[in-house]
Amino acid sequence: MRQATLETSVALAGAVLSGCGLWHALGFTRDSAYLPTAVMSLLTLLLLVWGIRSAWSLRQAGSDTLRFAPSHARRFLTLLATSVAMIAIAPRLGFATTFLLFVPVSGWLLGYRQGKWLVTTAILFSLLIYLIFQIVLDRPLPPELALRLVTGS
Amino acid sequence: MWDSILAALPLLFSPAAVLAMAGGTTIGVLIGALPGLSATMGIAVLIPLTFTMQPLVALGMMAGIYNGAMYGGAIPAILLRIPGTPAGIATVFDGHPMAQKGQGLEAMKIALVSSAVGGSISALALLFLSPPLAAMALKFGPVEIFWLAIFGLAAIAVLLSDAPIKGLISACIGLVIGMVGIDSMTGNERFTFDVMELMGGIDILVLLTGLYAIPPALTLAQEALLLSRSSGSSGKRTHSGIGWRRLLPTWVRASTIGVIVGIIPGTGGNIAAMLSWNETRRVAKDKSRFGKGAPEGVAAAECANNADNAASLIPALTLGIPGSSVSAVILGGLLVHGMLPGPELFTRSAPVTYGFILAMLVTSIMLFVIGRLGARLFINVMYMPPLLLAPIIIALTTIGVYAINNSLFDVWLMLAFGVMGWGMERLGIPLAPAVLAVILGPVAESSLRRAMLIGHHQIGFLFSSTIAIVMVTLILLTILVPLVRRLLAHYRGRPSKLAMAADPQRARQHLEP
Repeated sequence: MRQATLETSVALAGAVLSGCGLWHALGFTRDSAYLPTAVMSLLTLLLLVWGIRSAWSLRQAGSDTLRFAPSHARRFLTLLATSVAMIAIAPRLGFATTFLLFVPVSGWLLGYRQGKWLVTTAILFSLLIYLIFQIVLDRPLPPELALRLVTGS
Repeated sequence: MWDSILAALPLLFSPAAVLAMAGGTTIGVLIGALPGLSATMGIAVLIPLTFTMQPLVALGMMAGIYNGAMYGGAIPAILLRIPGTPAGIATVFDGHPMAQKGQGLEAMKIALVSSAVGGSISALALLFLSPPLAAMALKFGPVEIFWLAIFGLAAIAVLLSDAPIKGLISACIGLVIGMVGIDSMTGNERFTFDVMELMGGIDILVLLTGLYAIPPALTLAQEALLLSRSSGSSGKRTHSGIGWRRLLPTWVRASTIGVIVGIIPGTGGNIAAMLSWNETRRVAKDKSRFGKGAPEGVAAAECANNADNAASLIPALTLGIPGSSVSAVILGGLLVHGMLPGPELFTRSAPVTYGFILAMLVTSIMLFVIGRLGARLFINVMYMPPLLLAPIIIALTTIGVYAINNSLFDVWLMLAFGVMGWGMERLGIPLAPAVLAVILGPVAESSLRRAMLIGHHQIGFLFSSTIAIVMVTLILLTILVPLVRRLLAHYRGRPSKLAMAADPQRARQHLEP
């Protein structure tokens, strides 16, 4: 896939979204609508110009080709998926406990195979997070499952 | 000024502040030494952790990270030919050939001393140039503040990207994000879509952390850049004998270039370093030494990129206009601690403001000591596995953002901004204009509304003062000059030196010997 194809698609999709935003902004009361209307109009125009320019460059031979290795895409999606899972479960298990699982699992899935380092890093990092946020900064964070399991309370 | 400095000294040299500055400098060097991570990212990750600290302790830590990271970028540049930060590219030119000749440690020593010299001179420039500029800015009314905000936006949007249109798109996206929430003047909701969490607007910290901390983590994992210990410098050590006195003229020239480039919005350490290295080569008697391991080349690049640091904060602290992404993040840090960037920093929060400026000076000096003592640690940190580092960055930002308002919504928003930022980078859309627009958008809007009220809704009132006309001229020049330069380059068939210096890839292709 060529860079210009991607840019054209993004610019045109963005222009449609921005157009919807402009429509939404026109519904604001007069004093609140000045800047949103002006900015959304400018954004729509800029995106259209960008889209047209990218589409024009598609006609020229030798424009940049996107090189996206499958391994790159896999690692990107893996980290994104594990991050989403981490954010979803952190309020239930507690942040330090979640990180105890998230760091080694993500590292392993991304392709890091030094098991000893994965476990050591996860334990040290979670301990550090617990010390900084619960003890030093005293932030009201969700209770830690790991602590409840260890202390039995 | 001197009263405020004297009032700041006890705060600055309190044990907590000294510890924060030393810790920040060490963390900064570690971050800079890791290819793919930058000072902007380091500060963005750590701001949420500092919001319970005393303002000067937090700002001292940020000053340390800023100065430390700029030097840290030189370590992989010299030893591995991989610049740790974009500003380290010019250091590669002579630093790596020195390492190949077995003079890697000498090159690192030159980089360290030059960074400390450049950083100190830049901090002194910030200390002495800011107060008069702030005093002048205090006289600005809503009209001048409106045009100033527009000038800041135009400069960053046009100068920071290869294609000005992408910079302007980024600025518009930032303006829209800045408008989310309840309009403070009319009480109407804008772009909230009835989501309760959006009523109060988007927290600048959530945006900063999302845009600057998540994309580097995703890129680290994606590219999994593994550094091999054998790919570095030659095993044998030789000594050329550093002639420190010989470097003095280079430091003077590089510091001057760094400070001037730093003050101009939309530039940065990479441009300063590249211009300084090029200028040092131009005035040298024997130009052929450059690119083959000339100590002056390393000194010029490192002194200039650190001299850019504090100088880039001059427009940020005095006018509220950040000239670079790092200064935008630091402005975010000031906002977190209840300090509104602009001339009033030098009156309402003078002791903390002067304390921060002095922290830039103190951390530049600390850098020299920490760099010498921790050299071995900093070299080893370059080999940290990115596949382990990426999840740690994500985890740290997650808990940091959650802890601000105890809001999971903020964490999801941060992740969404992170993915958006990653996409923007892939499409060549700069991030800094968006962040700047979030900060400057509300300033511009409220100033415009006040100006229109004072001027009885007459558009002509916006052009009624000399300063306003000068600023409008500057805005037009900022937008038109790059277009004219681009057209000229198109007809001549080659880009200008400044344009080359601004683009790391192109600079490397054209300037690297």
